[in-house]
This record gives sequence, structure tokens and C-alpha cells, in this order.
Amino acid sequence: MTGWSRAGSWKQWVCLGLILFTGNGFAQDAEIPSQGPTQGKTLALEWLERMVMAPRQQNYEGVFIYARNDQISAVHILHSVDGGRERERLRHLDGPAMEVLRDGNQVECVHPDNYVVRIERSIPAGPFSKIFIQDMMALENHYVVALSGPDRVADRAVMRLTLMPRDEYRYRHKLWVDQETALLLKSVIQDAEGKTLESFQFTSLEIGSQIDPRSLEPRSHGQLVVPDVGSSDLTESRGYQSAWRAGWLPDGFRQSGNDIRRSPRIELSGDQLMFTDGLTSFSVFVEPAGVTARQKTADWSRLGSTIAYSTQVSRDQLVHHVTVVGEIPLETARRVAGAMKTSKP
Amino acid sequence: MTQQMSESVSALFDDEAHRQDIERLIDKGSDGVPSDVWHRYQCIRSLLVDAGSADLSVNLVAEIRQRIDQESPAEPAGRRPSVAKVTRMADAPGKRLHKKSPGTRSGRVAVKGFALAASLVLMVVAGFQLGKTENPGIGNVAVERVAQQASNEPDAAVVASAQNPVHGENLSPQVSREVLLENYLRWHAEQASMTGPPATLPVARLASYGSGSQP
Repeated sequence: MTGWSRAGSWKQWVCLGLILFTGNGFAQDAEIPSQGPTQGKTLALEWLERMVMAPRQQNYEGVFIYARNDQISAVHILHSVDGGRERERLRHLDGPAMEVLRDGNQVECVHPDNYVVRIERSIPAGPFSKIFIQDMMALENHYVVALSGPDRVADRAVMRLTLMPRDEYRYRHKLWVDQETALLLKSVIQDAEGKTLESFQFTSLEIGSQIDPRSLEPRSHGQLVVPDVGSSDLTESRGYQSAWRAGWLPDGFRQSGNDIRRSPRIELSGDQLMFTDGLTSFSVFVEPAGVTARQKTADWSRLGSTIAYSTQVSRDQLVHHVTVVGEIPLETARRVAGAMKTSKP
Repeated sequence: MTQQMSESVSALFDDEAHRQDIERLIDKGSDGVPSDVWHRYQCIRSLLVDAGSADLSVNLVAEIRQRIDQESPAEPAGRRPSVAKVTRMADAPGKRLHKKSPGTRSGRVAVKGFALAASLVLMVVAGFQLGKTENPGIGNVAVERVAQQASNEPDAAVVASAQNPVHGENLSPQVSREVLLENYLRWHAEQASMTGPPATLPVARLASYGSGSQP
């Protein structure tokens, strides 16, 4: 098979990564001894700031593995910056040869079954947006941010950061940041018990290499499909304003946008509202009941750190399906879903 | 793979397959279809049936086709009306299946088509299995139930679809929920890839839907 035949060239890196994945770094939680808590916190925030800015300053090429539940993906990534314009191509190395291409604020998903989904948003790419920078500085209100010391990932020296939530409404994050460039090389999301829900880690990485623009073109080609969505950005107030709002949010979360979503497959038209605390995000989907199958009680499922909690709410004498999807604990999703409200004029 | 076959596979993935598309795929089987497409089928099977031990030598579609074929020719007279339900459903406005007399190939193709479509719909959410449900729904039990229903009980599956004319498209209510969940996961990942820090991680999530392998 096409995907597996290429395995030989990167398999050694994946194997190495799996070894590192399961055994590296998790036991090294000690704080840097030479720093007091305040200094450590300040340094940690500085590392976070550098991490956010790093991708727009570096060309790099590598392979990372991404794991959640018992599912593991190996992905080749090419990232280039040319005159402030960021371009990126991610290609799965196993299974279907799906590709994701980023060019500025545009994302295209090239599916192996001959179609391309293009995603365009007026919201600037997250790590570079003013919104995110503001949220990141406020992270310290909602996470205990600490610098945990040096480590090694993908044969590079890294600094390890931990973000422990101050409440039960979000997950723990551990970040491994390249000491030289501040690129994020490894990330782990854990629940309150310390169970790892999702892992991301580079297994090989070459930084600063020249990237041929032609290599950023998709290898697969297919029919272009632009999703039938009515997009809106609250920060620009250009159009759609959902009638729905969150009646309850964990501290630090705020709405970052809303969309109208239409699914041609099931004739769905509903709202999507997005929320972020600067580090993690979740979406709330609301559609009128009756469009989908009847479901009188709540369902939830989890894939790695991503929860999907679905229930029904009655507002203004109408029943709606509310589904919360995001990297948040179940209880957070449950409370958010149950508290969704329609805006009063 | 010919352009025609490619379109048929694509239509099937999009749940927009016409009768001719489904018939073409059923007749052709895996001949001429790229290995990565069939690999995807096999991954579905391994996820749904073997829960982690992918058996790449087994062809999911062939298996489904075989199991349906085993039932269809030997259908007792008492089960004929259920096939007729398929053709009645095809009469409804907006439906894609064409009317033929009960018991003809059209009916069987519709049933086969549902089985295939249901299996494919479950592809993306197949990895979304570890969670529990407060009542059976999106989770593992439901996914397995629908898969079994699609492959083993085509009549029941078609009845379920006919009772839910809003979504038509040969999908049962449960499968429609799976489609919806698939959409939600993608849409969330898309948005997070644009708005959530750090960028690589949500993009990796986005790329992971429809891919990945078992350890």
C-alpha cells in the first residue's frame, strides 16, 4: 500500500519516538533548583511567549507522532516562513494519505478519496492573533505555570513547562519547548488524575532548512469543496450573530467566534460557538431538534482529550440539540451544555 | 481506478451514492480501487470488530457483500415485503434509489448500499469509541450495534431509515447521529486549528480524523 510502502524511511524515527513517548520525561517533575517560584513563573511565561512566536520565525521539517486513546498517527510536517507568510504541509505517513495545508489563514484538507476541503476564516491564525496573546498573559490566572527544567526531545535540548489548572474545569498541559528556537517539540495533556489523554511529539526535526515552495504543494489532488458555512468573527462584527450564548463558562473562557454550519449530508443547519481560555478551546453546536435523530437523554464520548457531550435543552418553547466538543473535562462540557441560553433582545 | 470508480467511491464516502454507484462498487469489489481506500475499509473493520488487531488480509466490503449475498438469495417469501419497503422508500421525493419491483436486484442493491454506507459513515467516529454514554448512543456499544445491524440485518436497517424520512439518504437515525458527530469533530478541529494555541496540535487533531493506526 502506498502509505505503508513509505514506512521504511521514517519507521526508525517513529520507533524511537514511541520509546521516548512512553519513557521520557514523565518522571522529571522537579523544579529548577536555582530559581524561586516567582522567577520560575516569569521565566515560564516568557518561554510561553517565545513558543507562541517561534513558528512564524522558523523554517522546519520533521516527523511527529500524535497519539490519543490507542490510536497513533505519524505525520510529516514542512513549515516555511517567507516574508512573514507562513506555509505548512502535514502529510499522514500511515493509513489514508490525508494532507493538511496551511497558507496564512487558509487551511485545506486534502482527503485521499479525491476531495479537498478549504477552510477560510477572518480570525487570524491562533498563536499570532492579538486575542491569543492577551489570553496567554491571562493564563496565569487559571493555570499554575511552572518551568520544570531541561529535557531532551528529538535529539534536541528542550525546556519543560507545566500548566496545572487552578480549577477542575480544564486539563493539565505539559509542554517541551526547544531551547534554541522555542518551537514546541512535545506536548502532553493529562486529566486530573494524571492520566495521559493525548500526546504529541516530534521524533525528528530539522530547523532552519531551506524549504522548496514546490514541496508545500499537495501531493494528492482532488475536487475542491468549500464548506457551506456562513462565517462570522465577533471581533470584526461582520455579519452573523448567533442567538445563542453561554449561560455559564469556566473562568477565563470567552467566546472567540460563531458560525452557521450546514451539513449537506443530513440537511443540518445550526450554530457553532467557539470558546477559548488561550490554551484550550471548545465548540458548542446547537441545532433544532427534529433535524437529527431523537435523543431524549444525554450522550457523551471521548477521544483522547476531546470530549463530545450532547444533550437537549428547551428554550423559548423549542427543543434544541446542544453538543459541546472540545479538549475539556466531561463535567465542564456538561455544565456548559446545560446552561446554553438564547439571547434576549 | 477509473474516473467512474473514483466517483463512485467518493460518492459513497459522501453518502451520496446513486444506485449505479453502489452497484458498480458491489460488482467490481476491490478490483481497481486504490489500496489506501481499501486499507481504510480494513481499518474500519479492525476498529469495529477486532478492536485493535488490524487484519489487513481481510476485505471489509467483500465480507459485507458476502454476508448480505448469503441472506438475499435465500430470503423466505415472508421477508419479501421488507425489500418492497426499500423500493417504496425510493419512491419518496428526493430519494436517490430507483423503483423496481420487489425482490429485484434494485432492492438488494439498496440494502447492500446501506450496509456499505453505514460502515463508511462509521469510519471517522470509529476511533471515538472509548467514551461511555449516559445512555447508549454515540459510544462503543452503539457503534458496534449499528455496524452489526448494517451488515447482518439489512431489513431492519432499511426500516429504520424509512422511519426517518427527514434524513433519508439511506441512513438510520443512529447513523445520522454518527454523521453529525463526525461533522462536529471536524468543525471543532478546523476552528481550533485557526484559533487555538499552539497551532500544530489542533492541526494534528484535524489531520487525525480519518487516519491513524492501531499500535
